[in-house]
Amino acid sequence: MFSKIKSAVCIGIEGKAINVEVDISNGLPNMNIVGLASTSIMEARERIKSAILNSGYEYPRGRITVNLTPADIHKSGSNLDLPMAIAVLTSMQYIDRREIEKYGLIGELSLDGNVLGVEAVLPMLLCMAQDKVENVIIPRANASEAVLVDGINIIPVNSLRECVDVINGRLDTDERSVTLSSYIEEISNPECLDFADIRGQDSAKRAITIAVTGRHGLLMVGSPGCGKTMMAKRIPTIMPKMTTEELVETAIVYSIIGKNNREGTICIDRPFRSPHNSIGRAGLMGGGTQSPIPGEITLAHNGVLFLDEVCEFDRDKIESLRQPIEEKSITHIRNGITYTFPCNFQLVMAANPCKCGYYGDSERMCKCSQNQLLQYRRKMSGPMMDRIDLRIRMEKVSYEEISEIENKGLSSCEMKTAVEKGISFSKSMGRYKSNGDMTDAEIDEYCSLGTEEEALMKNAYSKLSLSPRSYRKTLKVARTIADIDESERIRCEHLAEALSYRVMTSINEET
Amino acid sequence: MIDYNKIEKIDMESDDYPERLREINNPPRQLYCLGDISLLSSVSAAVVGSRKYTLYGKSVATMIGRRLAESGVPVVSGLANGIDSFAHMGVLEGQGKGIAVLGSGIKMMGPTRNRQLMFDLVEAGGLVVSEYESELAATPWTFPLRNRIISGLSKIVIVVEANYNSGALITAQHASEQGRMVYAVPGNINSQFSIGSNLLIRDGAIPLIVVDDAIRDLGYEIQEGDERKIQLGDDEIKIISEVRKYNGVTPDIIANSLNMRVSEVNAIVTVMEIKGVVEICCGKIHLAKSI
Repeated sequence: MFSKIKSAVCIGIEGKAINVEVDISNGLPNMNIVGLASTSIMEARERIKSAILNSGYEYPRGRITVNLTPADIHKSGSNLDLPMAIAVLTSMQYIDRREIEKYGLIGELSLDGNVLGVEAVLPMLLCMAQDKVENVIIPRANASEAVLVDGINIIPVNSLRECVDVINGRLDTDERSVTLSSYIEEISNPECLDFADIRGQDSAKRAITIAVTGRHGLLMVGSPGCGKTMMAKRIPTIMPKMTTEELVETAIVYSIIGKNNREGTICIDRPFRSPHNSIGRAGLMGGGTQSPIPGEITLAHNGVLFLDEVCEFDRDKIESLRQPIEEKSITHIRNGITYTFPCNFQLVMAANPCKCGYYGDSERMCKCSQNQLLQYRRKMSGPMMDRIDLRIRMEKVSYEEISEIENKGLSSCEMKTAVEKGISFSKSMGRYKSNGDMTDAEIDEYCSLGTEEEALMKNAYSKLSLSPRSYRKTLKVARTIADIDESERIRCEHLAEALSYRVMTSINEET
Repeated sequence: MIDYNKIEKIDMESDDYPERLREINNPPRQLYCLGDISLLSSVSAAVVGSRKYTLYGKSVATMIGRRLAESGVPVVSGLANGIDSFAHMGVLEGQGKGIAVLGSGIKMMGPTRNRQLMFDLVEAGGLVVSEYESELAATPWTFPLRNRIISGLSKIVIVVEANYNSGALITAQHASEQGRMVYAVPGNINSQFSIGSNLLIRDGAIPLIVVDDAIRDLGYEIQEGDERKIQLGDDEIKIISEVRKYNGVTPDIIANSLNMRVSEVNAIVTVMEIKGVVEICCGKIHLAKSI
């Protein structure tokens, strides 16, 4: 007896529709799975048998052939357990053949017949929605991420028996009433981090506002304990709210690594990733031997990638960030298949001014030798400086500043307003791309200078020994400052401020 | 490019061998020279200091080098990183002549990053001196040894910034044994970078308060360099007066006390930096020169 069930698998970050076909014929009792299935799918036969028997159904005494089509795609994961079991039960005529056509299924089975949560539900649901599947049955553990999918009826179930009852119409299926907006309202807790927690540091906050507005790479240099990490952690709070597309993109990434269901919620705040400097290449960029999984740069998609103690990172890891930053995606190739992961993030780096951390500190002495200083600066000046547009030097806040209660400094709310103002002004001028991503041609087009401004830049170029690269970076940053100021033209004060955040051009310069 | 074939060897019997060097203990048997040999016998000043420096040391060393050069005083130094090289950079700024005494053979000159400075000095009519054959590599004991030549060649020795174990103190030691006048640039008494130079003052070195004093002591006439007048706006004058109150101040503090926005302060300070009025080091604003 033949039956066919709709399901999906996830390849990279994309879902792929799969049909599970089951045929039961006469012969020795056995279950054969064909269609490029991985070990996790092959092992499903034991789970399926126990789950069916323990749910109170009969297990067929015949030769069961399972085919996964299209047969030329390599499939892995445990999410085909449920569709395979239901296909067997359909062939056994426990389920109405006409009803089953309206359903897609995703889920892993436990031996007692319970349906367990799986990874990467979101991309699979999106692909089924595209394929116009009306109803999809998913594990209850994955119910929360399903709110992001529109135009599809999601039915979360707990067990195989419940699933059969739903399909046969013995259970009321119309229980999903959560919409995305009400869901966000529900789980969105009041933001606990705020820039107002940090007293003083106004110039650093200003630089961060500019960096976020234009998506410029930012480097914070300062002695240990001056608040670099504290600052970085608060950056997501001033970024504009995620749009629905961004929300889905981010949730897909987290769905793949199974983060969404483990925490029980989908990620609605912009992600903040701060990998340790001992991270491997695959951990940072994504990778793996079979099918690659997203690395930190992809997990930071639509959020902040914060590299603390950036000089401790291997040079080649920083170097390898170049292409993903430019292309906003990273491509891995495994076994002849191309996997593309998105990685559009705000890059923030922090570094000590020297190896011991106290060079130029007002209180403590630096213990580095001249050679150590040089070596450290050489490390900082190379590929790292190419990734950033703004550099700021941070100083420990004095006791006076901390104790001044009336001066709390800028709060996240004020900074966010400035960021949104800058972005919407830039859009109103017809520039939809972030200023940090401007190409050379676009810089020429959008960052034209008047005579007075030209003179300033000419002076600055020689006096501050700028390089052609830092000159362009200054123009980009100046454009962002002008945007925040809602000024159509870049004026001298914008350029001068941008110059104060200029990046180091030679190792002879102080950090 | 520099032609190493022009290296000349001068031994103690030679007329070019400087008289002043002959009188010291343990004079070098021979000198390998590249550049203008007549400088060996000129009345010169040594400017030395440690390799690690502060912005203060950097600007003072450059200023001293430039002032000496402007008045025609040849400046002797060791071409090490830090103060030594800044002194010679100042000499080049003042279009004067520098004498570099190496702790290795001339061809093996180190640190490599100062090699260009050495070439520039020779090109500008200066001189490179070493007691070692040109292919001899530096060893840890050759550097202290060359310090006796630095002081030996000069009439006075100026120590700019030295911490308590700096090689510049060895030079000062040699200088006092050889009967040279020792000047030391006073520094903050709590600065680790100035401990050595301040100790020298305690032990009888002359505090260098005005560079021109040293030039007069050498018997040179003071030549005025070109000091440009710089036009400053109201805000800039306000900020300058604020910067004067501190030894290095952050834009945050200025913005706070002047009740300005940080973005404004940053912009104005950058313009002032372009004008050469202030310098920024480690995120702190310093006065570049007294206005």
